[in-house]
Amino acid sequence: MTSEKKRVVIADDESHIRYILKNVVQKEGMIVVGEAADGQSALDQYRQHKPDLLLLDINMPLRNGDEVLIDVLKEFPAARVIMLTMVADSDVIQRCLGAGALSYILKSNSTDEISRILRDAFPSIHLP
Amino acid sequence: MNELPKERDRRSAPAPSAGGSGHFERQKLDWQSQPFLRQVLNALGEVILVLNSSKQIVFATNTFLNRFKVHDVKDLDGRRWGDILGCQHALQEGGCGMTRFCRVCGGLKAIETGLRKAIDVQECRILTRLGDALDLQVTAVAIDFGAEQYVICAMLDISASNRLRMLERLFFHDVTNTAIGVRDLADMLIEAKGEQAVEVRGMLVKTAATLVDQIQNQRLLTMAENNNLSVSVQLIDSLDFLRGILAKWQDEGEARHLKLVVNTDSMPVGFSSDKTILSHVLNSMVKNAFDASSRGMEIALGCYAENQTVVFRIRNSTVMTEDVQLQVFLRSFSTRGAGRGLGTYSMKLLTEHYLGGKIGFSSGGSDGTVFYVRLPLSPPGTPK
Repeated sequence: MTSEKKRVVIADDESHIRYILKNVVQKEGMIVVGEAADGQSALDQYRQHKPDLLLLDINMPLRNGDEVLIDVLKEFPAARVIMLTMVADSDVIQRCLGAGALSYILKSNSTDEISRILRDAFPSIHLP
Repeated sequence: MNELPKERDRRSAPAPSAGGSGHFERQKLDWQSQPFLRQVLNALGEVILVLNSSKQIVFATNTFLNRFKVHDVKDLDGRRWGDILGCQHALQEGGCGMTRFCRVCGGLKAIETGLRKAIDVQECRILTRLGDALDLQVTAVAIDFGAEQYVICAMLDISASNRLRMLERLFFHDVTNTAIGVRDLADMLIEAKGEQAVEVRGMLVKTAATLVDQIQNQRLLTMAENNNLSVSVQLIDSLDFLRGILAKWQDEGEARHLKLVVNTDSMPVGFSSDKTILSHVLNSMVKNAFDASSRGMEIALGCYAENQTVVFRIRNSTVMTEDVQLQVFLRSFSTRGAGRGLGTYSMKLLTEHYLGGKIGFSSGGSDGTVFYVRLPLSPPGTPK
């Protein structure tokens, strides 16, 4: 187990979603090293920071999250990516899970539920 | 259901027939001499056309004639379907099926596949010369009749279902998304203290305003499409107005690392228009520019006086692909996938039908993409 804080990049075109997720991520003892508001920036941010976790919205300008997921996993096969979605995107989310996304966060989830999903992304971390 | 063109412009020339006009007349007579076949097609009660290999209409069902208010079948002679549906591109050089816009026409794709003896079903979006938006599902099937080849083309108006899908997307996706944000930020505010509380409060106010905007924008569009939108004219200073638009997007620009500027050569032009409608148009333009721009790019806003009009321009550095350019302003088209934005369509509808102006764009080269709105200094019908 490492004591280093896990590094996270958040990609969502809605600034309030990024803000809320940043807050939850920090509460879980992780740090946000990059934010992106479009698909291309998400990929750029991943390449730049090589984070431990990418929170990736599906519907974004320039490039959609499902396209970015494929590119990230092609370049970084061990990447941990959690998709961000609304219920309406359920077909796409199934496709993303099939393509190698670790999990997904429904935007309607409570912040407690989002915290649990973030913790599950790093099962070796034993939080107090 | 969407209103179809109330009166069609018949100025477009009949399309040339592959074998000349005599050949076309013979084809028409062939179909007229087959009452059984005509009765069968009419009995289906669907909007159906039969086209020859030059894509000219040789037969139309009664349902088609009623639906598109064709009172005399002679009006169909030599015409292609885009002429009769009132497609805005059918009057251009070459006519229906021959313009550069026709390359992305789903209906034409279906018909051409039909002519290759395969069955095809495509969605087709048409903006009519009267500004109505038609979404059709076109099924094309080849048929050999005598020594000739034809395509039976059945059209289903899916405008209403597409509108419903769009509404569901907007209300059950985008609006829910924002409402959830308001809920989570309100939750955060309960525990937040000091500086963080100030930050959360600011974000909460902004997100709540976004929620109201999303609902009002949809309401505005629905009213506009139902002809229930009334225009409230006020005096406006173009430069002040543009600065107000810029202020609204400044924070979002910073968050996305985009540079948002008002061009220094912009001019203060006094004009009369509806502030709410114009705000919607310009905000949609800026939003589209945001969505097209990557980190570090500049979005420039400008306004100028030109030939007794005021012109607003929004420029971003990204060039649109030709396929996107050909479909800008169509109702159900979005670069963000099916059932997404109504931005460009609502911009055109509101500008041209309610503000008495013109909207357009250019995209290419080092200029990137420029959308512009040209408005009269006073809307038509108001005292100068």
